[in-house]
This record gives sequence, structure tokens and C-alpha cells, in this order.
Amino acid sequence: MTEFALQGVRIIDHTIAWAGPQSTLLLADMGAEVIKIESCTRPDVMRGGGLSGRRIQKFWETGPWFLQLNRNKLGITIDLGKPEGKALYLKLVKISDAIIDNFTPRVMPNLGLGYEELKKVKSDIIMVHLPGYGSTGPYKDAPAYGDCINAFSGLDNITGYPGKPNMRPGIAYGDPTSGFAAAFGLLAALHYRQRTGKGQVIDVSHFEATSKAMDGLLDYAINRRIQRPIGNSDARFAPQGCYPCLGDDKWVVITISSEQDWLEFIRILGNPDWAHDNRFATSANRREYHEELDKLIGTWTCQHDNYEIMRLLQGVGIAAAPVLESGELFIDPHFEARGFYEASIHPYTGTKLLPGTAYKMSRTPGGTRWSAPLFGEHNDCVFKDILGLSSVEIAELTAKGIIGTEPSYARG
Amino acid sequence: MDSALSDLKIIDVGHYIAGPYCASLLAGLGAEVIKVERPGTGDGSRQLGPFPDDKPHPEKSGLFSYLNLGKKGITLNLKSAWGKEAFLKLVSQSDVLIENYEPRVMPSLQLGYEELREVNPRLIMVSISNYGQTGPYRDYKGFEITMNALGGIQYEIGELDREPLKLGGEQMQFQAGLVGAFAAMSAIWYRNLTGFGQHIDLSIAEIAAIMKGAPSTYFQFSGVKRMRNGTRPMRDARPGEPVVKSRDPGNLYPIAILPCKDGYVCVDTEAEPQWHALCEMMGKPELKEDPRFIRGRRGQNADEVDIILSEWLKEKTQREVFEECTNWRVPLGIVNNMETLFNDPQHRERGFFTTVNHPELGSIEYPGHLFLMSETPWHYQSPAPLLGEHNREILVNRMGYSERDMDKAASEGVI
Repeated sequence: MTEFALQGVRIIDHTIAWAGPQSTLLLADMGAEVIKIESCTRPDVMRGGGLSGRRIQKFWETGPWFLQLNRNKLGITIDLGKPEGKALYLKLVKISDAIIDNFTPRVMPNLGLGYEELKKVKSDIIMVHLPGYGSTGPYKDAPAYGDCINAFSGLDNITGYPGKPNMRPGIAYGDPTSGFAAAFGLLAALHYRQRTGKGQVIDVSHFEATSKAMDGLLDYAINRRIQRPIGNSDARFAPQGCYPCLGDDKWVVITISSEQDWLEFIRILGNPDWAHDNRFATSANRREYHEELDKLIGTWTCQHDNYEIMRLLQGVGIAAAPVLESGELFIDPHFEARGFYEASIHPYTGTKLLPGTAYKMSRTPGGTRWSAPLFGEHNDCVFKDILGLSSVEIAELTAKGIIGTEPSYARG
Repeated sequence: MDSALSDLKIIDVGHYIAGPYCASLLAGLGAEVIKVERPGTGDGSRQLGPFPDDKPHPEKSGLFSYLNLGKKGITLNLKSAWGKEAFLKLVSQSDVLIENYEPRVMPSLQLGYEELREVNPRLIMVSISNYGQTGPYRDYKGFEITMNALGGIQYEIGELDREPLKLGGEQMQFQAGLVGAFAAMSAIWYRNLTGFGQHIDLSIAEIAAIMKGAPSTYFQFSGVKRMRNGTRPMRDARPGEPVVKSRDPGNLYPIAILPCKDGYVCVDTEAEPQWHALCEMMGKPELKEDPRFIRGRRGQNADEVDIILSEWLKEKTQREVFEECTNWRVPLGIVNNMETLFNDPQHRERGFFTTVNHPELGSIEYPGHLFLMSETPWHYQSPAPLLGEHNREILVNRMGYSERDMDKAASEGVI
């Protein structure tokens, strides 16, 4: 039998969208039993409808994001607004180790399911909150999406071409970052509970989790200097940049990190005359005339394929890589060789290659066991096999709309 | 108060950002972290700034002092027999070892996982590298920008008619460190159940590909690649559509970075009711019915949306806009720079920064907790170690080397 690192850990997962599901994905990939709770009135917003519209059959089973973020989880539905739903939920709490939610701070207490209430049911429960700005402080009630956190964390401001800050970072950086943080915090609390028998509350703010990685704060703390965007260049060495290649919108990034790199580089370029210009003699010179140098390098790179440039330069120890597009990632030979993209086999979306875990563990490798749950797919498994409800009880709950296997919007 | 990880002993033989950050997260939760550095020069990040007044000094690097908060520091030459013996002894008494050298380095020192496991089968070894310990790019060179490119992040940042951009800062290095800390804790749980340690092979490129989100998954559904679009998002394509090169930011617009009276803000309305609230808030409820701005049209008329928003924003400060938006439930972010981030009222109220007194740098305010824990708060017990600061405490007092051993090792440059 394959063993998993987090065997025996049971987690209730109330989260939707990206950050929370990313967090419980890490835990589920490691073998924790993650029970994802949706309700017929509030399915995970990532379930679909955006990409393909609502025309296709069971569109809520076809969301790419949902598929990517929810493998290895058990999917159930409970309406927490109703007393029977709440009772069912509390039964689950009683046998779980941790609860994770990404509601705004008011939601769980308003449902009568705040930490103090849940502690009465399970005294050592661990509760992880994942609100945008944290559960306390002046911003606690402000609505937040990824772009708000990119702005607040300073990422927008330090990303950009030289002299042109405030570029959109293209990813919702705070989501995976705070998701990783929540998963780590949960395990730290679990470790503490194992030693002491005590549960606790963890409050993960997307804003803080992203700010913790802003090393530019140090220059401000020490020298009161404000970091400015420097495009693709590096403060330590030059040139470093992103250069056009053969093909439509193809690019390669190159870093020359030492004098030896520079000599090898100009050798590969065929020792063009400009390479011996005094303006490019040292790393400091090259930094000063970076823009001119970039243009000259571009005259060489634009004649070559970006993968070819990577192989040529890496062959002599120079850092270079193609700028991969969304359609190139899962066919890159390196990712392929490492088995990073894992197949998801799913009744409504077929077989797709999804990003796996970012690490391999030698003894408990984890990996895809099953793809993202269909809506309410594991109601029977969880309510019957885990909670011990009878078929009659389940039928009653279904009839009352407490649980179900179709979102309410499916009925029009 | 108690600490979550106070029973764990960690060796940090990492350098620069990813490995040391990983270990610093464990230190912040109370683990004992012993940092092993090369005698003489130490961790390469000691040579990186920021330094006070830009004067380089190995004990005054702001970056090193941040990434190594709360650790103890010893120096060992891992190429020498003595250094190796002391290192293995340390390994035998530790729970986790964290390293982020190129994959060939630890095995070449005969300190690969197979060797370390002999000494301590319960050990968890976290190896963080750019490309991972296997695969055709394993020994390739890489920097932050290389990871941005290979992970697919770079392609979607920047202007459509210019070169794609990396994210500012060293984000992938940091997040690889964080995921390394998660993986280490998973392995600790397993070890506590079974007694077995293991090796964790973490790739920064794969972290980047995960942080990129779902565009590669989208591509498999629709065959459409997403493009960069400056300060705006790019519209998601529909199945069957050709490659998008329009500047249409899509139906969620406005997601827009725009100037106000004293800086920039990012308006981030991703649902129809939020757009309606925004119109009401600006005192222009008629825009809700305006055919140019109904659902499905705002993206095509993004320039006009920007003009209207900018007109409203120019009279207001970032704070005024943010407060008003919060009251109206309109998502909006203030575009902080490093100064306003440092002084941000939310961070200040929650005590995000922690002041640590460093013997050479003086009192510095560092980013503190990654999250708040009610029972076991984040806490750094000491500043970053000076090079070899705890040699005596660890090697003599704890591991039982004699003063004579120490003097001999010092004279041979081993410590």
C-alpha cells in the first residue's frame, strides 16, 4: 500500500476560488483527507461557467481552475444556513483535525460557527482563516481580490520597465502565496497539538504573506530608500534581459553573471566587433550601457529559436531559458521528464495535464489519486461511511435541500 | 508563550534566499536553527545589500540579516575531514537539513541524502534547486528571471509591443522557501508516525509554474494563449477563437491601475454588482444603463471607462478612495511603494513588523510574522548570527569538542 505523509489528518475545507483551494491542494496531495464543503446555493465560483459559458451540459463540472485546484479532495454539500445542516456540520467537526475557510471575518461567527462554538464540539480543533487583509485591523472588512493584494503588497509598483512602474503582474500573487502559508501554518499548529493537545486559530492575511517576501522593504528600513523597477536587469551583474527570438512573439531570457560568462557569451555570438567596445568591457560598464547592449544582443537572438539559445548557452554554463507560453509549459521536455504535469481523468473534461506538486518526496511521493470532485460526489462516502448516516437519513436531507448533487442554478 | 516548533532542530546549510528563508520560517515558529556557513566568506547573501549607506560589509547585509533572523551560526569547511565529521555529528542530532545548492554539490561532498541517511535515518533533507534534482535541465544555471521565464510567469507581464517582464523582486525564491517549509512539516508528521525520514526534492521552476495559475490548463481547453496587456488584464478567450492579440481586457473590466491625487490605485471590480456600486459611488448611476458600459461591452470601451474613473479619482487621495470603496464594497487596492508599504496602517495595527537589534546594524524593523497564531505567536529569538558566532556554544558546549580541537580547526581554516 502506498503511504502518504499526512495520513490520518482530516481537514474541513470551506474555501473557494484560488488561495484556499491551493492550500488544501497541498495538504490533499500529501494524503490528508480534505473534505471540501460547498452548498447548492454557493458552489465554488471556479466550477465553471466563465470559460465555456452556461450552454454546455453540466458546465459547473468543467471549470479549468476548479479542476486544477481540487484533485484528491472529497466533495460534499451542506447548507449551513439550516439547523439540520449545521448539526451535520458539527458532527463532522467532532472528528476533524482542522478547519480552513476564506470567508470574510464575519461569516463563520454569523453562522454560529466561530472558533468558540466549534471548540465546544472539538476542544483541540485548529481553525485557519484566510481573509484578504486578516481578521483584525482597519482593513478587515475591505473586499479583496488578487489585484488588490498585488497593489497593496507593492508588487505592482516594483514590477515594470525602468522608469515605468505599476505594471500588472499577470498573476494573483497573493493567492498561491497565502495558500502556501496557510498550509504551512496548519501543519505547524498540528505539530504543536500533537505535543500539547492544544488547538488554536491561525489568521493568514494575503497582504502579510505577500509583504513578507518583499525584500525591498529592507532597503527602506535601513536606508529609507524606495525600490524602483529595473525591468529585466539585475542590480548585481549585466547584461540580464529578455530578448526576441525567431518566431511570433518568442523570447529568451539570458543572465551574464560573471566575466567568464561574458567571454563565453561573445564567443558564442561569433565575437562581433561591438562586443569589444569599451562601453561593454566590465559588468559596471555593461550596466551603464545596458539599453544599447540589449539591442545588439537582440540582433543575434532574433535569428535563433529560443530553445536552441537555451541549449547553446547552458552548454557553456550561462543561465538562459525560453519565455514559455501557456501552451508550452506542459510539453517542456524538463517538466515532462520530471513528471511535473499529472494527468487528470475526468468524466466531463476528459484527460488534461495539470501542474502537480512542486517537489518529490522520496518515501511518500503523493501524486494524483483522483481528479476534482463532481458536485456533491462524495456525499454518500462522507455522510454514510464516515459519519454513519443511514440511506433514509440521507434521502431526508436531500429532500429538504440540506445536501444535494446539483447547484441550484442548474435548475434555471 | 509557547512556540509551535520548539522541539525541532534544523540545520540550514543554505545560501542566498530560498534555503535560508525556508529555515527562517521554521525559526520564527520556535525551531532551533543552526546555520552552517563556509569559513571566511559565509553565505553569499552577506555580500549582497542593502548595506547602510551602501557600504558593503559582511556583517551588515540587510538581506542576510533578515533571512537569518533567529538562527545560530557556525562555520565549517565541509571539504575537510574534520569539518565533515562535525557536520555529520550535527546531522545525527537534527530533525531537518535544508540546502539549496546546485544538485551536484552535496553528493560531491559525500553529503548527499544517501550518506546522510546512514548517519540519521530519521533525517528529513530538504533540497531546493532551480530545476530539481532530476531531469535534463538539472545542472543548468538559473536566476530569478530564468524561473519567471520557464514557469510561464514572464510571458504575461509587460506591454504587448515590448519584451515580457519578470516580476519585481525575488518572489519565486521566497515562495520556494515557503513551500519547502510546508513539505518539511509534512515529512515531520510522517516521521512522527513511522520513524522514517526522507528526501524532499523541490524545484523553483515548478513553484513558478504553480504560481502562474491555470493558463496552461485553459490552453488545453481552448487552445488560446493569454497575452500580456500592460496595466490591464487580457480577456479570456473562448473555445475556437484564434490567438488573441487585441488589447481588450475583457468583461471583468475595470481591473485597472489608475492615478489618483497622491499616487495610484488598482480598481478591481470582478462582479457586476461591484461595477454598479462603483457607478453609484461616483454619483453616476446612469452609467449602469449606458450601452457602452453594460456587461460584455466595458472591455471594448476600456479607454472610456478609464477616462471616467480618472476624472473621479484625480480629486481624491489613495486613502479617501480606499475608504469610500470599502464602504461601498468595491474591491480596490492602494498601489503601495516600499515606503507606504512599510508604513501601511494595516501592517502597523497588526504588528507585522518586528524590531530586532543587531550588533552591527543596530535596531531594524523587519517583516515579521507570516501569519498570526493564537497560541504560539511568531517570534524571532535573536538577530542573524555573526559569522561563526556560535561555534563555541554548539561545537564545544553541545557537541563536546575540546578547546584544543577548536584552536586546531581554526588554525587550519576549518572553522
